[in-house]
Amino acid sequence: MKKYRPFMFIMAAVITLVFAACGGPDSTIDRDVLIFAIHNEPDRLDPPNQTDNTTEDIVRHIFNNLVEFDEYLNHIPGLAVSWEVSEDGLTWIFRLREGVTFHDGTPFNADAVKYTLDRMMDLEKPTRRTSLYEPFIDKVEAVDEYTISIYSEKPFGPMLAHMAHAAGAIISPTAYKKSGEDFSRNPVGTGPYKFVSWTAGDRVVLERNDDYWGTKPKIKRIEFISVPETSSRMIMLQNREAHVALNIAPHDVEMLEAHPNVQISNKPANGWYYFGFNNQKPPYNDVRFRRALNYAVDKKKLVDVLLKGYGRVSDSLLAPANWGYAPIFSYPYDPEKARELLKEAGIPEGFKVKLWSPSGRYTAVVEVSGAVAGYLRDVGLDVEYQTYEWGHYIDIISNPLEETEREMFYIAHAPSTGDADWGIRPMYHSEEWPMPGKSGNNRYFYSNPRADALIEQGMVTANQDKRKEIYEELQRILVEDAPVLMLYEINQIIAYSTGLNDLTISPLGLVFGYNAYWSEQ
Amino acid sequence: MNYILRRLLHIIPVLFGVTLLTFSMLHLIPGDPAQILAGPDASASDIMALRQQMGLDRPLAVQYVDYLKGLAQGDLGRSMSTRRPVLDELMDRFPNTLILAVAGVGVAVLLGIPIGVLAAIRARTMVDHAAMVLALLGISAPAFWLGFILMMVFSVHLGWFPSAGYRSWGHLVLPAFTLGTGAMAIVARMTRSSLLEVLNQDYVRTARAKGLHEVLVIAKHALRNALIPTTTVVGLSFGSLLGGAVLTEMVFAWPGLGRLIVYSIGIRDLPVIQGAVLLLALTFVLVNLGVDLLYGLIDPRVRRE
Repeated sequence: MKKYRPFMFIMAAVITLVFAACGGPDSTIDRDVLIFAIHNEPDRLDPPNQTDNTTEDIVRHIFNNLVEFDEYLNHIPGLAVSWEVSEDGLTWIFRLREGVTFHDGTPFNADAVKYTLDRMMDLEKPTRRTSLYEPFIDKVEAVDEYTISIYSEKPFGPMLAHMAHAAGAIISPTAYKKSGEDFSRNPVGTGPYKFVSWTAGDRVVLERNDDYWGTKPKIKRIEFISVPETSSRMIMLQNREAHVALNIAPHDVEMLEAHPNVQISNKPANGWYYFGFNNQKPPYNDVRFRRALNYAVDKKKLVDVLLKGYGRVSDSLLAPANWGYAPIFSYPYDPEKARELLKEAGIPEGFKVKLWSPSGRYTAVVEVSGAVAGYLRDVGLDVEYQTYEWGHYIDIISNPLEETEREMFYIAHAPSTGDADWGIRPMYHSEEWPMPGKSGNNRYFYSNPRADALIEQGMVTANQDKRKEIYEELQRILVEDAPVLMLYEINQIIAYSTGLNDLTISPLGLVFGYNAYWSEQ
Repeated sequence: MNYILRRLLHIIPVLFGVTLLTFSMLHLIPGDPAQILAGPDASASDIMALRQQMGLDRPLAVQYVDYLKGLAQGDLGRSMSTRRPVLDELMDRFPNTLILAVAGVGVAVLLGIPIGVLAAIRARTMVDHAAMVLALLGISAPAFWLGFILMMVFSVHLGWFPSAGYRSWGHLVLPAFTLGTGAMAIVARMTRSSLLEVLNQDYVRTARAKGLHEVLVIAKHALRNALIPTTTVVGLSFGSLLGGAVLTEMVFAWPGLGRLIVYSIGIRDLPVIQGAVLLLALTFVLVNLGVDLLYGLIDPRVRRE
């Protein structure tokens, strides 16, 4: 018998080919369970200390905010039933929901809100997201059991968006005092699901909160399994070993869609993608040069071919899914005009430019960057294209002007508050330049006093209609100044099991299972 | 006994060298942990706070000495990303990697030795050639390729085993085969060649002349001697399977040490990488010591004392 053993593999493969049509794993579904296959392990299930999407996704199942986002990023009542802002815009008053308890039985009230916000604003022990609150909030006061007042020194326009940010989720003071740093492994909130367990490297298990104040979830248990390989996630989905997989690449959609166990959701997300320019380095300090680069690239083709149509050519420096977005203008593909502008700017044929991108992390980033390099060569530039590993890349595109060699670099921005302020201020305000000893997100060293003024105005205006007008003007200035090479927005593609209904899909790149249910079989 | 003690003492300078090497290498590679961890849209103050919190604002030498001090007290520091003690992070994963490596070695030994024996006793026949071609394929097949092929065949089409994840013993089968195949091929080739050598020895001829059954000749006389080089190979491959399970762990979402290391390198979680490398080095050294001691059991001539 032994001598046949080596051939068992080969036989199995042959058998497989023969039985391929009728094979397939057991596809019965436990209708009480929903399994997410996530690409990386969450880091800390502590609202103000999480910084990546997968962790935020889990956190939002466990916690609630005073104000929450709906599927279109509108602000809706969460743990606050209503709110108002004083005439001068300096005091926000939130009326809290009564009769809510945390998963550990602690009652939810104004003290819990004050505790949560005070903890975040403690500069002695800052959280990873303290800067979303500390600079704008002066003092938090529990007026009575179910009323909280937030005082600022200056009016703060995007207050509601910041309250709705995952970092602003209200935590159980009792649980936090008990666990301290370990709170992130034993999170306690008021959300639709309770934390059960976390097996390192494997999965996080949540269980339905039967006392939930909102709509009761239908599915009893949600598991988040971390599966780093895309192909493995897809196989698990086809086998029904997982039911939801996020961040599906456009070129995988066709194959997944053809499988009877899988369906696809395709919706706009709030991120956008572009090449930043070093606006201080000649000739990038010449707007004609920057515009020429924008005219030189066929964005439509990039979206249609490399993103397989799962995207949209950008017409502003903010994606439409964000509050405050205004459609401005997309530079059409016009190589003639690009050549003209280059000539005007005095750029000789064969002028050397550097184009950088990370080697992964973003959908089709290398293919797109390669294509862009090609387009730029077509208008007579000599492009040196280079890719870098992410950890190295973020370093060399974030260093100060004196130290940097960057010229054009691929990057994306998805404002986690879904608001124009966070979408624009950290990116284009001249005080946000990276400096020696101080980091900043204005990696393009863009500076325009008019833009600065509008950014500041939008921030301190409490009237939301006025803010919209301000941001429209701001976006117009930015697009005309072209501090970046505008590319596109990429859709959020999610693959999930057939028979699964009502997943909640947020443009923030998140998927929630608290309204989901399985069809009767 | 003395010998073992001396060997154990040798481990200390080895581990010290490992810490110095990993520490300096990790600080040579570009990338700022605080910047990566805070996310691309983090504010300046968030990043500064993180840097301070993680102690990255201190001089390198101070960081290293503090690390060594902690190490002497069994404290490997805290993970920058999860803020948990590194030892907890490692111990959550290490048993899983150990299980996988043991299963991989199991596959290598249980399949590799019989194949090697078969090839040796049918040397230069079709069986031999087929076995050796198979072994060559086994050495050449990369884990991410083999893993996905096994997954497609045995999970998607046949539905015999679950694809990826970590829940039941069934989840162990495909990763163990993926991991063990390379070592199996090496074991098979080693067994074949050393058995062929032994089969020409006088004492084997004597055994045959005594009229012993061929099975007994091979099993009792020839194989015992032939297995000494094989043992070395198995021991060495166990060490490399521990460290080399990375790809297999990625493909099968196996919550082991390799995956932790890859992830930690991506986010520059320095204390975790240092701790993990140290742990792997320690295991490797201990396994080698174990193999050396095992010689004595198989071959009394090697016995010390």
